[in-house]
Amino acid sequence: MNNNDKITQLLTKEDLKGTIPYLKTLDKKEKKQLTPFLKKQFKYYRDSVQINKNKWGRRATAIQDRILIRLAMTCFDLRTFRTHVWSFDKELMDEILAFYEPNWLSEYINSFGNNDWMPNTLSYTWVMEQTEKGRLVPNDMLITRTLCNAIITYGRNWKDSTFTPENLEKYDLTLKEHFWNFFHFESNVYHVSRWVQFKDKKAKEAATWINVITDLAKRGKLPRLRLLKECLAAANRDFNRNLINWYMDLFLNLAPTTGELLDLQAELFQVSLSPQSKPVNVILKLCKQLVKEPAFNSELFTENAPVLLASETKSVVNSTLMVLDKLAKKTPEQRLTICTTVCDVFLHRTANLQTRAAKIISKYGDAKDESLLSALDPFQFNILSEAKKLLVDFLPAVEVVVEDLDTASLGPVIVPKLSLNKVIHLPENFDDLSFLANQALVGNESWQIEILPAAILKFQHEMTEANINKLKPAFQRAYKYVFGRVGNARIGDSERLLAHFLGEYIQVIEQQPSKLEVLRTMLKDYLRKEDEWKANWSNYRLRKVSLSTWSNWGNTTIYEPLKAILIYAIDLLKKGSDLPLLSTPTHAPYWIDPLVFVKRLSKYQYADALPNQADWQLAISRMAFENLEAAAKLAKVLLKGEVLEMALFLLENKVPQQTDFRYIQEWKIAALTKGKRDTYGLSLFFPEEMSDELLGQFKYAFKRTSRKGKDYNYQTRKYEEKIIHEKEMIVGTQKKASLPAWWDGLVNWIRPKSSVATFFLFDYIQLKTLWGMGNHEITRYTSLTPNNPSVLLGIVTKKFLNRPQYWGQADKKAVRLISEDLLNNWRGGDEMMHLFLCNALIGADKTNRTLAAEIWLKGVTEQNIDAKLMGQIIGQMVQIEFFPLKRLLEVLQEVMFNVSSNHNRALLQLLQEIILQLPVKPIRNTKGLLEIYQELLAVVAIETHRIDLNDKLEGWKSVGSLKKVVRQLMAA
Amino acid sequence: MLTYQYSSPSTIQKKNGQEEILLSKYSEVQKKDASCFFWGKLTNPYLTARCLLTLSKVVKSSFNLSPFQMAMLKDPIVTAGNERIRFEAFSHCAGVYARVDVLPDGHDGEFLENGTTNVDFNEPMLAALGSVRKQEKVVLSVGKKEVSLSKNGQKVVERKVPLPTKWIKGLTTVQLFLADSESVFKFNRIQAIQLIRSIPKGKIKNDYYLVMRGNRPQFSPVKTNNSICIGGLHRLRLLESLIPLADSLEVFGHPKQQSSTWQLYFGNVRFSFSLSRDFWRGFSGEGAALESLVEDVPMSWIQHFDNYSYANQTFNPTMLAIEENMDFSQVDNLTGRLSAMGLLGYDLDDNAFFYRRLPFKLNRILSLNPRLKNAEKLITDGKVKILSHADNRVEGQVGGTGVNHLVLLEGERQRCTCTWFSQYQGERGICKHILAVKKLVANQ
Repeated sequence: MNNNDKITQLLTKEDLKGTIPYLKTLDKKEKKQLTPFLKKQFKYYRDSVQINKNKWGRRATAIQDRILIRLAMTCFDLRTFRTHVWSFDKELMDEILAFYEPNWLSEYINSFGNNDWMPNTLSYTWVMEQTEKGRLVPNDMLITRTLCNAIITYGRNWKDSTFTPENLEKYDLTLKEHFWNFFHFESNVYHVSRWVQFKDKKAKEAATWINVITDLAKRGKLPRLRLLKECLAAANRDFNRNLINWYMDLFLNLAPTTGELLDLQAELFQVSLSPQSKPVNVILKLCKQLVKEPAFNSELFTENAPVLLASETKSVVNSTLMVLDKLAKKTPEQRLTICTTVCDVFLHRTANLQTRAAKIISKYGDAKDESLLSALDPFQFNILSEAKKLLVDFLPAVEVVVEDLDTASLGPVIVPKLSLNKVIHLPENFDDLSFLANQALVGNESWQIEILPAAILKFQHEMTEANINKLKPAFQRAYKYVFGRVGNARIGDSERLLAHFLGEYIQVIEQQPSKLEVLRTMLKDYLRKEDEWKANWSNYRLRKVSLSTWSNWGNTTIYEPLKAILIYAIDLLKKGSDLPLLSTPTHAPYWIDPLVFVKRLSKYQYADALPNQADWQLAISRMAFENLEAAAKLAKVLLKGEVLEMALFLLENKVPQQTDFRYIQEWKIAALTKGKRDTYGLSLFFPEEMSDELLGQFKYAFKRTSRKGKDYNYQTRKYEEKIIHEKEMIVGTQKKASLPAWWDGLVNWIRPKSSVATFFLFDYIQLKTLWGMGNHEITRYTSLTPNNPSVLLGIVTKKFLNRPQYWGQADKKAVRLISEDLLNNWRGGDEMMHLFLCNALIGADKTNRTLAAEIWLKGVTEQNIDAKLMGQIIGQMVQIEFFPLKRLLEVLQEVMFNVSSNHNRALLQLLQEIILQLPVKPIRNTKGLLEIYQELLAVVAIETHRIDLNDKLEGWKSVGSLKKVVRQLMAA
Repeated sequence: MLTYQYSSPSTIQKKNGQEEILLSKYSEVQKKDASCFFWGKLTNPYLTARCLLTLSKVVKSSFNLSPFQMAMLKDPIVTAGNERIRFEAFSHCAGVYARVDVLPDGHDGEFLENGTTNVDFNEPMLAALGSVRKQEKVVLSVGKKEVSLSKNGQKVVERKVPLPTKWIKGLTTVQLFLADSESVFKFNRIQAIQLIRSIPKGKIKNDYYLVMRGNRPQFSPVKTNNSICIGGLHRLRLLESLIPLADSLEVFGHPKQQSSTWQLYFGNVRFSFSLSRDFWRGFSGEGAALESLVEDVPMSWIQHFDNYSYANQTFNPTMLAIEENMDFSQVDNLTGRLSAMGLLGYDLDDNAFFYRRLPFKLNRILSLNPRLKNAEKLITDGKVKILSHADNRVEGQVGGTGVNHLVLLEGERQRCTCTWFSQYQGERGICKHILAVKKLVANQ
């Protein structure tokens, strides 16, 4: 019987006992030869098979599995062993090690030290036993991580663990060397017993490393001074926050004496560099006690103070100032250094910190000392009014004047929509077209997806075999999108839609005489793969190259206009027509030059053809209201009839002679495009409320709401009913559903998605989700009604921004993209645009808040933002504490405050409106808001406190935290 | 995998009333058997120590999703010579490059040899660095002065470190970004602190721009004229503890906004900090050096340069061209190639390249640039066809996966129909298809 047969026999007979005697007989060469056969056995026995009707599992029984692992450990090299055995069985390991020691044992066991997961059975005791036997050379990480668990012995049952700190004293090396690894390597020493259930319930509290270490130190088993030093040194390492905080807990638990602390001053001050704030706070607390000691090293502390004073944690700065104050009192020779160092505090815009620093300078500084005055000088711009009063002797009498800003530093300069540098050129030759096709598919620019169909129409008669080959990479990529082979955050639904357009276009080419087999083969390959998927996965949804049936995830109708235009482009291509698309933008990102619009329209009239409705309506909607005179002149030459009347209505605001319109939907779009500029069309076509809502001008209100909900109670382990209080923004009219929701669903399903005959652009501007958008999707949504951005803003605000928190990352991203778009195109806005801006300004994302603040800065500079309206909107929000006021304070201080005198005046107006509406019972951070207001009043000298705010302030006079600032304001 | 073999660990010891920082060194390719490169006093030990600590923070940091191996600390590289000591390092993700330059006035010591080497940065040594004080006398030694301490050539400290190719590749690429960068802003200490404090909390996924608002520098999500684009702004937090100690800060921008460099000045010590375009993109993958690798440069020139240059010597390509009788048009290529071979660094203040030979085997370094290798493979496999070549216009066809890509070279303008090029439009280096066509044309 050869070795293979023997192994087969062992496995089939499940002869566990016979395994080890057999393995003992094998020499090195035989073991190596067995490897391929064993691999096959592993594959066979580890295969999933149906065990009975309802159960699937491994083919191997538990005994067979143990036999396989024994064989693997004896015969495999480490790499093969790791790919076949993932578990660690200590008992099995012991059995093997009794007669055979693989040369890779150390490497294998040490690898557990570096892995996220370490088996519970791999204990410190076992590691030490193997080390003593000379089998294992453990590395530091393994020692650290196993030692972590050494104070706990896990029982057979998970609830039967015992606390065994005595394990630490079994081996000399443990406390002498291994223990100190805790301070040099990351471990979970801080919560080792967190999930452990002990046999003795009281043990849970005792079983912490802090208790164990404190006890060992008390008994003199661990040197106390070294422990204290190591704790301080470890606080500076790049470990996780919990671990770093644990070192400080240990340090405090060891209760260092004043003498010890004074000996450790150098180490203590080094903690100021810790990446976490807790250690810094701890040492500062200790410093406050030590500072009075004669041996306190004041020079060393002052040396480290700049880093502490630059901290973002206010308590750190505050404590440092307290220590410096005491030091200045104690050591007159250091006063100048301390006062100079303290100047850094004026970088913080927090009144009480600045006041504390100013007090130190005014108390201990010499107002004639040039070096102190020059250290203070650069901070003048930052010093708040109260601190300024204290430093009056140290600051020059001349008031610092806020200069007006250069507008170039405030985002992109708004240029005319039809600027030369924004012209979009169609490709000049076929090569350009082939590069454009690829770029459009990867979403380089938002408008490329619309330029491509226009460009294909331009070159449709040049589709020779050689040229089509140049387009092949784009066609291949289009197929990849269609068949779901590409996942990329840059690519949105518009690109996928474009891919379907290209897919359809390939079919158009194939029907032409110059058939291209290569393209057909490409499609066949994808279709074959689809069939394979379908064969393997019964619920797999087959993908099709069909433009008309394409819909995005969630069936959002907003893509229907683009889809309708692409379908129309395919029709034109099928017919070989030279008519142009009307809606192709002429200027980035989505504008159409009215002159070009008139020329394109005239081609239709010349060919006696009716434009496609979607195409026409979108073209009207995208018309830039510039160059109107020249366009009107041209229209009068090139156009005629109702089309001319409509063009003149748009270009010259000319009221048509008759109202019996043939193109009623297009007239409606023209009226909506002119929006509030129109005094004729809107009232003719729509009831007032309807036109308002179509243009995104929803009514809104902020309300507190409550609903019943369930909360999980971890102690009782049950869900409990509770009333959940929420804050909500109600946007638009809330219609009560008279019919069940499924009925709407059914109607939507039956209704044709893009019926050309009744196409009305505004019917399709709906969003169900913002999930999975590409980078340009928002610009493309805006491109449907660029003259009225509020249409989109209204929908987004209504559906996705009606809560103080964003629903998810997609909403956050959408607000960012919309804000960027607004910033690039802000020419003043209506109430909905201001509402959106306010929403972004107080939203739960700092980037969005800053972006909104940037729009504000720009709007104030260009005098096209309504500060009062924004104040009123935010005021309505603060009435119900719709958002934490802290968000607004942050952006006010960091971005909006003291930018220029104009900005300060506008900000003052904004704050006054907000304060007017603050609730009687002060909400959190009211004080901060009033302080900023007070500071603004001081800066904007020509403005004064508004008396009508005094009624509001009167009510807060008795509120402890507000007393002081209210008193000062009312006296202003 | 690189194995550092140090004769002893780096240490800080108190000797004769002064601290002595011994940086143990190791190089795979040391030209001469120099035991010690530099030995001497530091003029400003406190600030030098703080800069080195920040450098070690950079090495330990990682900003992308690659597995983070904190324990596998990669050691910085030191170049000593020409009166300067430069410490260079990269973050684990190769997106942050940092360098500490101790300038001629920053030390009072002797350069026993010049050269470039890895130096051992270990935890105890770093902890001790933190305790260096302002008034202390500190001696720095790059390599051991007393050779006798190494017993019979036995290596005492061995550390195996997975040295990702991107780390070395970053070191060979970053110089080209630095060379293109220009100074845009200069801030005093207060402005710098203000700026660094305004970094939003958390991981920042979208781009921010460094802008000036009146006298105040600010990070804004809005692009303005003369602003510097910074992807992964949170990476700048690595400078948090260093900025309060600096005299001034100078920010250099890349003309195509592909990197930003932040240079902190501490008198005679300088700390440079360069950020790649995005936190998920290292300097390594940018293909900046690819263009200069298209045309071959004779190895003899490179050899000549390598033989006769000394560490930190300013590289003067024109002089080399004259000495070697080279065509001036090839000088740019030569700079790129030498940089890609790890033989050059770049000093923004001097506005010049300097010689330093990376302490890694040349075959390690040359095994990089997969895009170039792929381009060469395309040529070898016969997948590159030149369809037309007239005047300034080359039309090529390069075989891709299932399709042929169109490559057009029109003067300075070069285009390809592949996805890489369509997406980045050459911002991240040219694609392998353009590279292959250019290489074929150059060799014709």
